[in-house]
Formats: sequence, C-alpha cells, structure tokens
Amino acid sequence: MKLLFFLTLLCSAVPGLSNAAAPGDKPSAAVNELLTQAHWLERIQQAPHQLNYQGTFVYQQGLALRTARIVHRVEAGHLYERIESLDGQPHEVVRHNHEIHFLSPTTKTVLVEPRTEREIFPGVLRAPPQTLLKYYQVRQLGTDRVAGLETDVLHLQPKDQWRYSYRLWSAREHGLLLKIQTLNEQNQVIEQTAFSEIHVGGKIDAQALKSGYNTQGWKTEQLSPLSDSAALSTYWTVMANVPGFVKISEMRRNLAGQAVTQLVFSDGLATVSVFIEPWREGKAVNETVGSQGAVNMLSRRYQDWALTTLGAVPVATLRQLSQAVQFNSGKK
Amino acid sequence: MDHSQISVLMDSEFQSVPSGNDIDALLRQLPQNADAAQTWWLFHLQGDVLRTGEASFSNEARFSQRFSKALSQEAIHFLSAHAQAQSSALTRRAAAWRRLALPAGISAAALLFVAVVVQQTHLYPTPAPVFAQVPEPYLMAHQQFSPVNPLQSAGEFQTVSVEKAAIAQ
Repeated sequence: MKLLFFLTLLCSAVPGLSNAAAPGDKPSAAVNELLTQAHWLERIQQAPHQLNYQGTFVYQQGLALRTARIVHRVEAGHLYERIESLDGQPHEVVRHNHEIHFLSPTTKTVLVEPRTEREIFPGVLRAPPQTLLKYYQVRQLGTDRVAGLETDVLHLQPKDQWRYSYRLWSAREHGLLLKIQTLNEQNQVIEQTAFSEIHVGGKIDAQALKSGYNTQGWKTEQLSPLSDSAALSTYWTVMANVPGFVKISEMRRNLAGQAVTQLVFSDGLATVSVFIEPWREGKAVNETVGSQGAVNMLSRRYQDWALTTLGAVPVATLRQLSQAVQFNSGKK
Repeated sequence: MDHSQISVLMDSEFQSVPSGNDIDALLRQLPQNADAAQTWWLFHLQGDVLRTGEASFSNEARFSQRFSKALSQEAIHFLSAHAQAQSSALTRRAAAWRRLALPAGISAAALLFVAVVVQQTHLYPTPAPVFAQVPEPYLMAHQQFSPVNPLQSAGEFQTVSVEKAAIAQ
C-alpha cells in the first residue's frame, strides 16, 4: 500500500513517469531506480525522528572549523535536542519539537522562537523525497566509514544549473546522516559538517537535555510568529522564477540597527535569503557580487530599496531570485 | 653638473662614473640645480617622445624637483670597482638586449596568461567575481536557515532580534 502511494506521488512529481507505472503493472526499471533514490532520502529524513543519539560534530567552511556537542532524544512523538558549541563564544540551542531556545551567556539572553521551519543537522532534508527528486538525482558513490560507523555515500546531483550538488554519508544500519558536503560548480567542497563521534540508540537521560546555564535573571526575548493573515499583507510579491525554490519564511528583523525584511527560499535542501531595506547612500547602486566561504552574495538597488541576496547557490540563482521580488504598492 | 653626467645617470650607465660617491653627489645636486633639473626633465621628455610618440607627463614646474628628490631618497646598490671594470663591456651589450628582452618577456607572459585563462574558461564555468564582503549580520541571519551549517554564532544574539518569526507556505 505504501509502495503504491509512493509510486503515485513519484509519478506526479517526476515528469515522464506518469505512464510508466499504471496501477497493477510491474514497476519499470526507471520507476525502480526512482524508488531506490526516494528510499535513500526517506531514510535520511526519517532517522532523526526515530532515533536517540548523542555525539560531537564538526562544521568546516574554508579555514573556519567549529565543533559542537549534540544530544537528541525522541520520545512518544516528541523531539528534544540540545546543541552546545565547544569553541568560540559559548552558546547553546535547546529544542523541543518546533520551539527553539537560543541561550547566550555572553549577553545573558534567551531567545525563544516558538514556531520554526528550521532544520538542524543531521535533519537537513526539508522537503519530502518526491519534491527533492524533481531537482536532484541521487546516485550511490560507494561506502565509507564515518565516526566509526559504516555508511553509504550518496551524491545529490542537481538536474539544472540553479543549485549546487551535495554528498551525503548515510549510516547503513539506520540511515542517519553522519556527514554532508556542499560542492560548487567546479566540484570543490565549499562546506561540510560531519560527526567525529556518535552513539546511536539507548536511553538519553533528561538531565543531558537541560541547559548547563543557570538562566535566572537573564533577559528573555519571545519571537512572536507572524499570523497567516499578516503574512498575506506583505508589501512584497515573489514571482516564482527559479524551479523548486519556494518561500518558506518571511520576517522583519533588526540587522545592525536597520529594520530589514528577510525572505527565505528553499528547494528542500539549499536555502536563499533575500534581505530588503530602504536604499540609502553607501548602498550598492549597481549589481555587486561577493562571497564568503560557501555563501555567495548579490546586492542591487530596486526602486528605492536595497536588495541583498545570500545563499550557498550559484550567483545566477541569486540574481534570478533577487529579480523575482517585486514591490506591491497595492498591499500594506 | 654637465649634461653628459645627467645622460649617464639617466641611462643607468653607472660604470662610466668613477665612483659611487660621485653618483651620490650628482643625485644630491640634482634637486638643488635648476638647470640640471630642467635638463633632467627635458631628457626624459625626449626619451618618452622617441619611445612612445607622446609625452607621458606634463610640463609641471616642480615635477623635476619632486622627481629628483624622490630619486635621491631611493636606495642605490653599486657594483664593486673590479666588477664594474669586468662587466662594463658586457653590460653595454646586455643593456641593448634588455631593451628588447623586457618588452618581449612581458608580451610572452601576457600571451601565456591569456592562453591559460581562455583554456580554464573553457574547462570550467567562470567563477563569480568577488567585489564585496558579505556583511556579517546578514550572513548570520541567513545561516540560521542553512541546513548544512548547524551552528550559529553567538554574535547574532547581539545584532539580531526578530520582530516577526517565520511562516511556512
């Protein structure tokens, strides 16, 4: 039954397959191949929702290297997680389902985000497999060992020029993602995250999920979610012009003393942010391109607004998405 | 300071000058001797016109003085007297070759550079030119949504405050 449901979804998602698997027919080789690809992704996506684990992971971008400790527990459909940075300025991220608390002992602040669309490593796949397979092809590269566990190495190759490719190391036993690399157009690794040690399974003590900081007397900032009706009243219209990228988030924030609107787009894996603020002297008039580590940036002036577009995607994608944003004076 | 000494100085034919002390003296005199400075400037103008067909600098009244002063402040390395004597003839011949070899070398290097760049352009898509630094607050605000980067800088707590949180479509 599940296979049939999956086939229907896949056939609707992937062009050219709608005639390949009529109900009752034996799945063709192409469908089988697609099912295998979907299976890989589904395992990676489901593992963090089914497994307890704790370990240390490393994030590398260019010469920057940062490590963190993660404790992750799933119990009766609830997800609890605690991430503690091990270098640089100390901070913690404590999560319960869709509510995230950011704790900073430096500023003695607890930032509470009650409803988030964020995904945190190793739960990197934001969209279901049938959506991802529209834009990426999954290929098994071989096997490898990461943090002492046997893994299958997969390559998510983009089907167009709008996104980068990824290598994923998925634990053979349960599918948990143990390592991910982002590769640019030249097939160079531009950022990666990997577990250096991990223990999967077993009981996780509730104490291990509690923050190590005594937050008594700390400032708490509650981030109010934008209601659906408020979201619809935005000044900004986004024309869909890059296949797969949809707006997943919109917020107004204060960046370096300036009120800025942030729109976040995702294709289920890659994310792009468009920052919109009133144009002022000193901001780029002509299109300006920059990059830092894996993240590319494109700035341009649009009417009386400055648009800054960021993401670990090709510059052409940033340009397209930047041009998709249009001011809608009829709304408020 | 006569014109022949200025000519020797300009052509870098130091070996025809008896000693380094004399060169030093010439350089010291140049900023203080209006006639010598004017001659220095005229010789350079003639040289430019002969080489390129046009003057590369304007007849600015104090140019020669400033140029001479800057030149006099530069460190100069001298050959030993023995080496000067030995290399004198060779240097003259080499100088003639250098006049041809330098532009030829530059041209060859430029051609090689262009060839390599053209070849690489064919092999790989041209990377985006880097013109600007990514502003840190924007980068940190974006990385909150990056699935590959699981860590967020503590700095964002100081610079970012969200007024309205995310909404999924």
